[in-house]
Amino acid sequence: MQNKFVQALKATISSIIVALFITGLLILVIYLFLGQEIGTIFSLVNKVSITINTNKVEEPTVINEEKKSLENYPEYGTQYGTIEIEKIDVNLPIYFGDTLEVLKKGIGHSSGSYFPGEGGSIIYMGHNYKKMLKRLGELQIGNEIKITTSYGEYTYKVYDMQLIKETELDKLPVQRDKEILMLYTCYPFNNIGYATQRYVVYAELVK
Amino acid sequence: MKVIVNIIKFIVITILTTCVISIGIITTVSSIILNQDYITQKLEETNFYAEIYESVKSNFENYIYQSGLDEEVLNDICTEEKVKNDINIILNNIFQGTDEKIDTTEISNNLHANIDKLGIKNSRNEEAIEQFVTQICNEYTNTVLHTDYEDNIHDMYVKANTILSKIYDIVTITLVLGIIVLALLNFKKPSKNIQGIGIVLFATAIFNFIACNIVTSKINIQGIKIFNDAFSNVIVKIIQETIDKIMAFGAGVMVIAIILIAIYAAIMAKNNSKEKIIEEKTTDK
Repeated sequence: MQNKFVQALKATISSIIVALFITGLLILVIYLFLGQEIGTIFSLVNKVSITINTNKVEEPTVINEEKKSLENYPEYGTQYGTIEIEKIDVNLPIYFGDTLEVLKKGIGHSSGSYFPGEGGSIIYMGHNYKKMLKRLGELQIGNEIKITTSYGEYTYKVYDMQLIKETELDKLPVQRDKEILMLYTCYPFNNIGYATQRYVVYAELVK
Repeated sequence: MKVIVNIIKFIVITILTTCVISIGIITTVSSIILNQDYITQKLEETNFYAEIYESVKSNFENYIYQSGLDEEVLNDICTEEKVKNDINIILNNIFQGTDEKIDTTEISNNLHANIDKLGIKNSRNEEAIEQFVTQICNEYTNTVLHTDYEDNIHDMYVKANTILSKIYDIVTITLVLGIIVLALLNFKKPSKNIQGIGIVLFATAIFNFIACNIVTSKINIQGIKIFNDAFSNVIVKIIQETIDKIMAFGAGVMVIAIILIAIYAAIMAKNNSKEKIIEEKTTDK
């Protein structure tokens, strides 16, 4: 009986060993002849594969008053504050970024400009749509613009307005000597079709 | 002589294993990626049509905010049914080689009707409105249709089908011939055929498991993002199901392999004990 079992075990083990050997051989052959191509396919697929870190802990955005700079900048495309302009009945969320998706939801913050509190130029933009900045042209010098962020509240006073061509937007003065807010929208306000001009409101920090 | 026969047997078994693996892969690919019905079913399952419809509406909004027109002009200019029909037109172009184009006349007419209803059109803005309508129609086509190369994709599809079918035929013939050669080599001990087939299937199963594990460990399948979420979901689902099918094929083959190897082991044990009894009887005499 024991002999029978040993024989059966021997036959089984030998079969499995041969099968494993063949598998190893095939994998080796594929690796030698197609390894590079398969590696290229993997790296190409991984280029369009995004790993989301679900364990990431969101650090709150805070301002270092001494250095006048933010610590833990908000993530691109996320809301980090609200803008309130009482005069034209505007109360909108501010998002970091200026993509079409962002501008659909509220005011966009140009990523090339400073954040409120950093002491430089802040560039905001929004559609001239009725729920957004359609009435921006009604603002007058001295009107207030209030920005509330998770790290502080800032009030700006309008001191100038300007009409510029869409192609001149990159000429808006980005500097760090003085905190100014530049808020712009498409112009003319009642235009139908693509607007080639931008109406810019300049405001300086008062508190 | 025995060594040479064993080497030939080993080569035949290796070839048979390659054939079974190839047949498994070709069958899976043909029934998944190259099968229009399967793709259509996955589009339904992943809510693809509804998501593309939402994308279409969302992309229209990008234009409305820039156009200076009221949101109401976009009311009911397009339906989910139209999106579904147009996607199916694209699939037919790709899989069946039809040459139907996406028609945006309905969207254009509905848009014009909404604009007329609001009474905002005049001689000064007529051109801008026409431009807006054209942009919306183009946006629709671009959102629904992700490629301008349907003809090329169809040609590739036909080519892939032809090549795969040729490979399938060659592999099947090789498999049959291999089995015949194996049977001839084991003419004196037919039980060895059972072992041979068992080894082929066992090796196939192990190969499938290892290949699938390599793919899943090297690629973050769930994170694949192509074009948009809707399209990515379909791609992820198809890749995942392909891997699952290959794994299931491996599991099925493994069960059969274990049975065959067990049968062979039982035969071996039985034969051995018979031989022992005969040997003992001969010694007693």
